[in-house]
Amino acid sequence: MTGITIVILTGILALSCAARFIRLIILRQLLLLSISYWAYAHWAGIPFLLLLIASSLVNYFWGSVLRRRPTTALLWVGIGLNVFLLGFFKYVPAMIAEWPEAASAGFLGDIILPLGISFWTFQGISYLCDLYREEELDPSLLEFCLYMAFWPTVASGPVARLPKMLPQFRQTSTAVGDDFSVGAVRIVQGIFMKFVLAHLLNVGLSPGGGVSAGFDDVAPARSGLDVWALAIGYGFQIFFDFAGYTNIVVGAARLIGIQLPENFNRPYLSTTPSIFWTRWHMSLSFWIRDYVFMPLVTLRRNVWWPYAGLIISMVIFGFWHGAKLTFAAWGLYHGILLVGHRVGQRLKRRIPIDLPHPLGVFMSWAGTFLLVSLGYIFFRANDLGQVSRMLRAVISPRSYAFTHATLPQDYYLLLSLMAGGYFAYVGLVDLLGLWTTRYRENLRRSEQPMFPQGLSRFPSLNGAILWIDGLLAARKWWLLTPVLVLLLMVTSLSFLNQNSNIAPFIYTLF
Amino acid sequence: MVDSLIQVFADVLEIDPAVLNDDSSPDNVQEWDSLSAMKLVAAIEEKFNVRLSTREIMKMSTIGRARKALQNKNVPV
Repeated sequence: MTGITIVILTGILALSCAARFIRLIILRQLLLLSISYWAYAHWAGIPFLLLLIASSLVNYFWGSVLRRRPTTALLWVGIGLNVFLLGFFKYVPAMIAEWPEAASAGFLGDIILPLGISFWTFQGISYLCDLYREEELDPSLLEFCLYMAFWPTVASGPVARLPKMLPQFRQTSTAVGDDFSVGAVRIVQGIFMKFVLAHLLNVGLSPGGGVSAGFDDVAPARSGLDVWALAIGYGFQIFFDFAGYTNIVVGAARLIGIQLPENFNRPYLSTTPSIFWTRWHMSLSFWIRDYVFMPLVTLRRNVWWPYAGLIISMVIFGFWHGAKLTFAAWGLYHGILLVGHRVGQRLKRRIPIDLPHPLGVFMSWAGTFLLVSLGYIFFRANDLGQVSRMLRAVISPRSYAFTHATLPQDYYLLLSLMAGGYFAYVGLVDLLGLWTTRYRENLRRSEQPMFPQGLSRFPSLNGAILWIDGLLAARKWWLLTPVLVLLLMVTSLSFLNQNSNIAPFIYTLF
Repeated sequence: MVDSLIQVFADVLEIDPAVLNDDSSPDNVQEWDSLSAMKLVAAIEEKFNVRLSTREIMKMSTIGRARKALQNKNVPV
C-alpha cells in the first residue's frame, strides 16, 4: 500500500463522510454509489466494475421475479447464476492450473479473480433467499446497487444483509459525535492490528524469523514445537490482519453513519468449537448457517443428518476460501470438531464428570484454542504434503526435543509477546470495565459528581482514571484527531520510503 | 400461563420460558444455535402434528415468525 493509495482512501472517506450531511436521501445514495463505483474501478478496473454492475442488475431483476412468485425453482436459478459467476472466476483457473494438459484451455487459465467477488455474490444470494423467505424488502435499484458495491465492504466484507443495511441507507445516523469518535477509535485499532501486529508476525523480527518463512522456507523438518508455534503464530497473524481490516472498515463505515455487522468477538477466548464459530468471521459464518446449513438440514429428519449437514457446510466454507484441497481439508477438520463437540456434549449428559468450574472452563478453553490453532496448519500449508509432515511432527513425541527446534529464537520471543500481550490486553480491558462500573455505582450512590475535584473522599488516581474513562465515553468528534495524525505519519513514511511494501489484506486473496 | 409454542422452545433450548418472546431469535438467544434449530423443528412438528417445508423452516427466524408459519397452516397458536 503506497502513500498515494492512503491519500486516495482518505479522500474517498472524507467525501463519504460529507455525504451523510446531505438531506436529500436519493442524492446522498447517489453520491455514495458514485464514490463506490469510482473506488471499485480504480482498484479493480472498468471491466470488473461492469461485471459488478451486471451482477447487481441481474440479482435485482431476478429478485423482482422472485418477489412475485417465490418458488424453489426460481430461487435455484438465481442462486445458480451467482454460483456460476463465482465458480467461473474463482475455481476454473485453479482447476486448470492443477491439470497441465489443460494448457490448451487457452484464456480459461488466464482468468483473474475480480475484487471481492466472493463477498458480493454472497450478498446477492442472501438477497434472493431473503425474498424467498418473504422478508419485507423493497429496495430501489439505486439502493440495491449501493448494497452490492458499498466501498468499505466490497473488497473483503463483512458480508452485510440488506434488511440491516436498507434502513441505514434511507436514514443516516444523527449521532455524529458518537459515530466519529467510535469510528476513529476503530480505525486506529485496525491500523495498529493490521499494519503493526500482523505485519510483524508475518515477517518476524529478523530475516526468516516470521510465520511466512516458517511455512514457505525450505528447511529441515520442523519439530513438534515449531509446528505448534507456527500454527498459533499464523492464528494470531490472520486474526490481527483480518480483525484489523474489519476494524478499519467498520470504523470507516461508522464515520459515514453506517453500522456494519461485526466479524470478530474475541474468538480466541472461545471455550468450545461451536462458540468459536459464533465469534470468528461472524458475518460469513452466520451466512453459511442461514443459507447453506439450515436449508440443507431441512431435507431430512434423520437424527444423524444435522451432523452430516455440519460437515458438508464446513467443507463448503473451506472451499469458499479457494479451490485448494488444503482449504477443503480445513473445512472438513472444523466440521469434525463441531460434530465431535456435539457428540461429546451428549456423552457428558450421560456420564457426568464433576470438575471444579474454573478448571473445567480452563480445560475447555485450552482444548478449543489448541485444536483451532492446529487447524491453521491445513489453512496455511502450501500443499497436503506439508500438512502431513507437520501433523506427523505434532503427534511424534520425539520431535518435541528442544534441540530439534528449527525456528529462530526471536520468533518464539515474538510469538510469546504477541499471544501473551493479546490475552493480557483483553484481561485488562475487562478488569478496567469491571472496576469503572463498580466505582461509577459507588459514585452514584454517594451522589458525587464525576470530576476529580468532586472526589475528595476517593484517591486521586481513581478520580483521574474515571475522568479519562468519562472523556472517552463522552464520544466527542475531535477523537478523530489521532486518526488524522496517524494517517499523516503513515502517508509521510510511505512517500519517504517508496520501497515500503505493506502486505495486502489476507482476505483479498479469497 | 406460557403459550404452547414458547413452551416448546423453552423445553428444547432448556431455558426459562419467561425469557422468550416473539422477538426471540438465534441472534439474541445463545442456546438457539444451528443444531438446536433442527431439534426445534422436530419438536414443533411433533407437538402440533404438522410437516414443515424447507421454505417454512427458513422463514422461522424468530418465534413470532414460527407462530405465523403455524397459523398459516391453521394451527391455533
